[in-house]
Amino acid sequence: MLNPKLKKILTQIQKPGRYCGGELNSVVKDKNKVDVRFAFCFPDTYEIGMSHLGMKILYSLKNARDDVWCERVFAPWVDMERAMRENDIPLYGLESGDPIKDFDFIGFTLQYELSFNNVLNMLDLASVPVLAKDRHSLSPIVMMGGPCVCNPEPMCDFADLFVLGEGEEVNMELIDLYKLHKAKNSSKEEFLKEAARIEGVYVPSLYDVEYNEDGTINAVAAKDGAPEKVTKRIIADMDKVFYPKEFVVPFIDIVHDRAMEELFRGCIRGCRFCQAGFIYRPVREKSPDVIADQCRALCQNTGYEEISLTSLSTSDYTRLSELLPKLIEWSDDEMVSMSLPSLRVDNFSQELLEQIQRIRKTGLTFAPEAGTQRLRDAINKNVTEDEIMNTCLTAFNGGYSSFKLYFMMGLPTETYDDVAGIAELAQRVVNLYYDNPNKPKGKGVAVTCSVAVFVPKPFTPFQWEPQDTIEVVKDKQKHLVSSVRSKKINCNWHDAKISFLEAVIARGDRRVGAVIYDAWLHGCKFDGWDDQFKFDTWMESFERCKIDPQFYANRRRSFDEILPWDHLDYGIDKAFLIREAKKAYEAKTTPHCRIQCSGCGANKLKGGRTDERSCATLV
Amino acid sequence: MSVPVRLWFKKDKSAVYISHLDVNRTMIRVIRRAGIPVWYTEGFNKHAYITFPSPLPLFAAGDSEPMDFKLDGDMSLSEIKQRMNDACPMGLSVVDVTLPVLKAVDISNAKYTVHLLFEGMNAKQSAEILSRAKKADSVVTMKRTKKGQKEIELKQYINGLRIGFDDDTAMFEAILPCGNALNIGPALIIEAICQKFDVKLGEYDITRNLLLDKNMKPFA
Repeated sequence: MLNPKLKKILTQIQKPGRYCGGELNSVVKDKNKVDVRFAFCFPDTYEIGMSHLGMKILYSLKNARDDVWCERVFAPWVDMERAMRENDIPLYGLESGDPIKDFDFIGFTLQYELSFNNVLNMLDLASVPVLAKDRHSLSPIVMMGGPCVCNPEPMCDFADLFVLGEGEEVNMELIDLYKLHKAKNSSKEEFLKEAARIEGVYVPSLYDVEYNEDGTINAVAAKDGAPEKVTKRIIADMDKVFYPKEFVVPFIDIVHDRAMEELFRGCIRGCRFCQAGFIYRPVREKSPDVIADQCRALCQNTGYEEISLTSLSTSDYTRLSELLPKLIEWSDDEMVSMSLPSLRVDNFSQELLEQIQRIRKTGLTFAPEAGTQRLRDAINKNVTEDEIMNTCLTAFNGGYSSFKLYFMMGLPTETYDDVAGIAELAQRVVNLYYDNPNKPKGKGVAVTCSVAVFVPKPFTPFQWEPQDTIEVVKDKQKHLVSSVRSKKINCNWHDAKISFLEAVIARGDRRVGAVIYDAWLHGCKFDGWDDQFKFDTWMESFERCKIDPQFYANRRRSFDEILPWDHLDYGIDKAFLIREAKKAYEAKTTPHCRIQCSGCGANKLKGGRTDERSCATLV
Repeated sequence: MSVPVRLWFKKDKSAVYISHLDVNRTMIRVIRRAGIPVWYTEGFNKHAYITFPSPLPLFAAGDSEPMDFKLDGDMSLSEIKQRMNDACPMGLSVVDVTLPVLKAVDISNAKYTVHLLFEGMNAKQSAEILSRAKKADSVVTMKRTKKGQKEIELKQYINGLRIGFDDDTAMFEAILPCGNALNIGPALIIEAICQKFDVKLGEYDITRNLLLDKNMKPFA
């Protein structure tokens, strides 16, 4: 199965376990007995990709079909890539060891803007032409999905098609259509024309973009029968949708080495900076029995001793008090520990704390996001100072003495006082600890403030906002540090330059694709990794391509500008986003979906009208 | 009442590329999948308690490696073997399940088989180098100890040395010290040979065939 040339290489590189396959539950089929071979490529290392739930779901889903064999492919680290190129070993599927250039589909999941270069690099390493226009035969079809395809425009030169939204059904439809065309020996164009008619499929070559003098978009026009607007796919029934009964269990240590169970998709909160909360709407929950059954099956078939209950905001799951006792009984017997990440500050109760603590006391993390109430209101993070303090007190009384608090800086309407507010809030948490008569003797408190740089994202109310320039961000970071008055508080933050590049790509148009290509040609890859990121090379690429990155990152856009993603429909009405954007500047909050529907439009995707009662309650 | 059990496993193919810690983690999950009633540690973070009398280094295959645990319920040794094998991933399989006779500290030696080719040499030429090493008075190398680096002469520790070759590869078998008192792995020997004869290692594989006590009897 393994290429014999690989044997020698694997003894000379770091972490060879990444590249050898053979893991428990990995699916090996006879390639002569399947009709379609699919290479699922994760554009980052094995340790990161194997922690990704979406890949696990789609891998199992495709392999459940007898006529399809789906294999996993991860980005080889720089040492392995060098060895592969030196030894003429093209990128291969982990299960078979076969080069993926001979597969029918090469699919990438776009999780993070700074992984886009890795997509190009993996195609090149596979000996597949990187530019879509250079690929003439029907296969391999290069397709891309995942959250970043809500604005896939910078990748339009490289992909044959994008899949918008949730992939469980549309992937199957694409495969069925492909089989028909493969049998008739169709051309790639013929296949893509028909594929564009499947809901959720966006074929970039069937759209032309015209620009104005000032660089903004004049029009995006569809041709050859492609829809004017492409609407994302959602799964209506979370209880009936496919969910794996087993996961591939890695040999080596990965980032999230545990079983994962999805509780629900979407989010009711509507925080104005958060893209995920909007693009995964409408909210759809799984019922507790289904969750409990799936958890049991997963742990039984993998042997995992930990399971993570995942969602965008786990304490908002409406039937948590029904679910937890079911799980706790089982997990106690089977000695499985449960982790509940993504908890909110404002509904973190004594009861919930007790449930989490039963199994293992991990660290506690909360996300106030902003240091002052005014700014929290502006970004619609509906969390008050009292709620934060009460939660911390509950946690202190429960024996916790260390916390991580997530914040952002560079948020719209932010002032330097707001930045200092982060340190002041952390200080109040520290003071609360020492004022607490019940605090454990001899133990100090440790508060870590993790401060990210705000990146404006498509399909949020802040999609028109400028990002703070790198200079301003650095200045604010200095201001934050000087506002910290206690050794009990530790601040860390992201590199402003990486966040700047993320902002350019996140709201980039098709012209940014040329820069991505040029930067890759000049050696940029693994940009999300501190030690691999080459900012200067990127800036040189921008210059060579005559593209101004600040046009994308730091420019305030007008509400009537045509945005590069306007022809894609994620269910969120622009009018709603504009209303929210204006409210931010008045520091006015919007209540969450279960209190009152604010008419974002997502319930249209479930077949409802925009003025109907909140779709979040139509569980 | 928990009963000590010794499981013997084979490690090869893909599993050669994973470290001992990875094997440890993988075995815990195999045990859980197989439903073996293993004794769990007490305390806040309970996990299946398994120990390895002699961990295998990375890249080494093993024909019969011991893993100890305590059985905390009713299950026959043959049923344990069957269930574990059904639950094992590629590259790991259970060869036998026995009741331990000796203690982990009794391990003193191990028999290894090594296949190799030196760079730029064919099988016969590579075997020539090995023969020259066998005939040499001494083969020295630097070994890392707790106190720093120390030069040691290796030939004194090599027993039962046999050298051979076929069309594809040269090979040697040897019994080397293995255990808490002294540990000399084949990798060290190969490194020393490369230095002494100014050659570079090409392809190779190492398999630990058997563990032995101080009387050269199989560890049981």
